[in-house]
Amino acid sequence: MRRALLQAVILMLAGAAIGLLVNAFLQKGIPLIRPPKPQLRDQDRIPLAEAKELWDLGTAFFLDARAPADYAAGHIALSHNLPVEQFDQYFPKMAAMLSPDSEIVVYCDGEQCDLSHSLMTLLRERGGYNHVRVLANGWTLWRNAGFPTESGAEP
Amino acid sequence: MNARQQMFGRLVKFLARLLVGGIFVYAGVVKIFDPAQFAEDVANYRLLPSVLVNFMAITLPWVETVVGIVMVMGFWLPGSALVITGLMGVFLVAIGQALVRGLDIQCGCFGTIEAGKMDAMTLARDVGLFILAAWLYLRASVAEGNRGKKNESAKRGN
Repeated sequence: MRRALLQAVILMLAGAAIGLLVNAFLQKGIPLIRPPKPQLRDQDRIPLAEAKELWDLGTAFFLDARAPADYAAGHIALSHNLPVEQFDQYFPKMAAMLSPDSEIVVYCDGEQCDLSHSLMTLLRERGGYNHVRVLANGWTLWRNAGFPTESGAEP
Repeated sequence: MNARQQMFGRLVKFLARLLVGGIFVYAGVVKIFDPAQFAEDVANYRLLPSVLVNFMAITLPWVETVVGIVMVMGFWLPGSALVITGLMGVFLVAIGQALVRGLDIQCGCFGTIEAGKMDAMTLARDVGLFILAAWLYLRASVAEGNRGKKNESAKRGN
């Protein structure tokens, strides 16, 4: 038992040490301590009911901030995919459909998901769109409410 | 125990080692090169204080890889089986609490390779791995104990 414990401790320390060392040199390395996430302000959020009203009126653009594979697996009907991690690649196509006054609803999935938050910031700062709001935990809320959804990749 | 049973036992142990160790190496390696994504997955479990999330995301894949390799190669079996059993226990608690709390999250167990949300199947798979790892640990400890006794009696004989 003592020997097993000693081996276990050595193995864990060795793994942790290699991990820390590799992370220091890895191009995609991350800081040892996670910076706190910026909080979403209340005025940046759109409640589900209001989002549905805008969807019914057909006046707002719905943008899905998730990766293309997640979008293809299922998304809010008539929404477009603007994966925040490939913003530069997808944005020009979206920009052609949007005007500075467009009402835009961005969403991703999960309470903790901050892709939509990042997308909102990018759209405001890089695109100059001022009417962007986040439908927090959007995909789950929308789907659970039984509102229209569809699947398939962005054409 | 006759020779045939012993052979069979050894074969099962060998296969269990390959399976458990192999899965750990695989699970570790696929997460190594995208620590940011894995940190997200770890954070989603909402189990660790945020100061520890990145440390876990940086070190855990390598610990998995190292113990997996050691187990497949078959040395330090008591130690590697103990780490894997312990880790599987921790994973079970993490997944179990997430399912109980209704967190709609990805497992993150195999990085982004395993698409979709985790469910009871994830838990069942991990229970299987936990049992296998615990069995390997117990077997290795017994073997180790026997060897100790043999050495002692050999010494006494001299």
